[in-house]
Amino acid sequence: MSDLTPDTVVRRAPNAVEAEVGGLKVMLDVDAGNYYGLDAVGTDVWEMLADPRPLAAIVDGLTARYDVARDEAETATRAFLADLLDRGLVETA
Amino acid sequence: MHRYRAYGLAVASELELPELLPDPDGTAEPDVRIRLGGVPETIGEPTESTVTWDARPGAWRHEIAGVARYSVHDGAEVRVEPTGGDAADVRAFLFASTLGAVLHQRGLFVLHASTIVGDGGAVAVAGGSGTGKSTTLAELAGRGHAVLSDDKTVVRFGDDGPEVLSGFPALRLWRDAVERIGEAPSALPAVREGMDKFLYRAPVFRTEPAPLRAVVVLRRAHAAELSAPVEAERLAPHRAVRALLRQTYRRRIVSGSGLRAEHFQWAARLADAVPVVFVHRARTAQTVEAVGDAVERVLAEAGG
Repeated sequence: MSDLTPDTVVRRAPNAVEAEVGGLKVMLDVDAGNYYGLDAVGTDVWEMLADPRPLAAIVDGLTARYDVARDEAETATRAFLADLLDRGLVETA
Repeated sequence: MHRYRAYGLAVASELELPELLPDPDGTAEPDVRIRLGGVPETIGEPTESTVTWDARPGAWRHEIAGVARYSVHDGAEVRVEPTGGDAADVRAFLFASTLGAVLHQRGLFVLHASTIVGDGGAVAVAGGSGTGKSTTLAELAGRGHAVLSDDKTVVRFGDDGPEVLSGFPALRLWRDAVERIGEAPSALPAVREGMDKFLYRAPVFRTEPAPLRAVVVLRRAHAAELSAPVEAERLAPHRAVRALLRQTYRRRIVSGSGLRAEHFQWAARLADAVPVVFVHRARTAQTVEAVGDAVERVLAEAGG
């Protein structure tokens, strides 16, 4: 699916424009015109990506905030970031 | 020059536009000038095109074969060059996409919606074709609500939140909507030659902006999907943003004008400020009154 490792540094893509509604992030890919809404965890991940960050740091952030096992958090984060990568909303450094 | 006022803009036009309200203060520097002739052959390299128009930031060109050519620059300079259409047809296209291009180029937030005003404020009514927008507007106008705008609803953020600007009082109603308010279609001018849609002057029209309390999006559903003939569903914020993006007037003019990001921020801000409500209506039901009731209820609940 992807070659994302814990050390892969991920950053927001410049074409991803964000806004906040009802406490959650919504995003528009301004190049493609596609629109996305994020849930609470997705919103947290996106906020952590305000600066480029390795995948492992995001997993750290989530395990600190949520009652979740590390391997579970890592699997979910990897899948989520791979999805954002596919959609061109984030880039790997 | 004829002087008018619409959507908060002072308009000076070489073309007479009887659908618009005359500007009582017609000496001010106009925001928009409409001139006859001089439509450029091309606007250069467009960023967005359809069969009839090309757009790039600050420039737009529209051609309706056998009717007219139109161009808009910088949201301020409009040119109209009739190429065989009668005056009503030329104006119909001017008031549709061309006016939409003026408003979008000015960076205004334009919904494909009509807006009425009640005691608590304004409610914008949007919906795709065939969802009963025109009929609902006629029903609500018939109940005595003031009309603020038809077809295009312009929202701006004032000190007290979002407000809707006054458009102009010519409503575009289909034949059944005209009959519903007890008017004879044969007595009204057609929007375009041979079209079954008519221009009807709103009996009560508001010329001042009004605070926007809610956006209603009309939807048609199969009866089996609903537990009642008409159902109201308030959207979660992220769905509300999507609905506002979809109900944007001629959204491709926004992207062609290079204003996608700004427009998106507006949609999010609006979705955070007012409820966006789907009013689902059974395909089979004769529910004009019930839809009118639902819109009034949304306004009553949101207006406080």
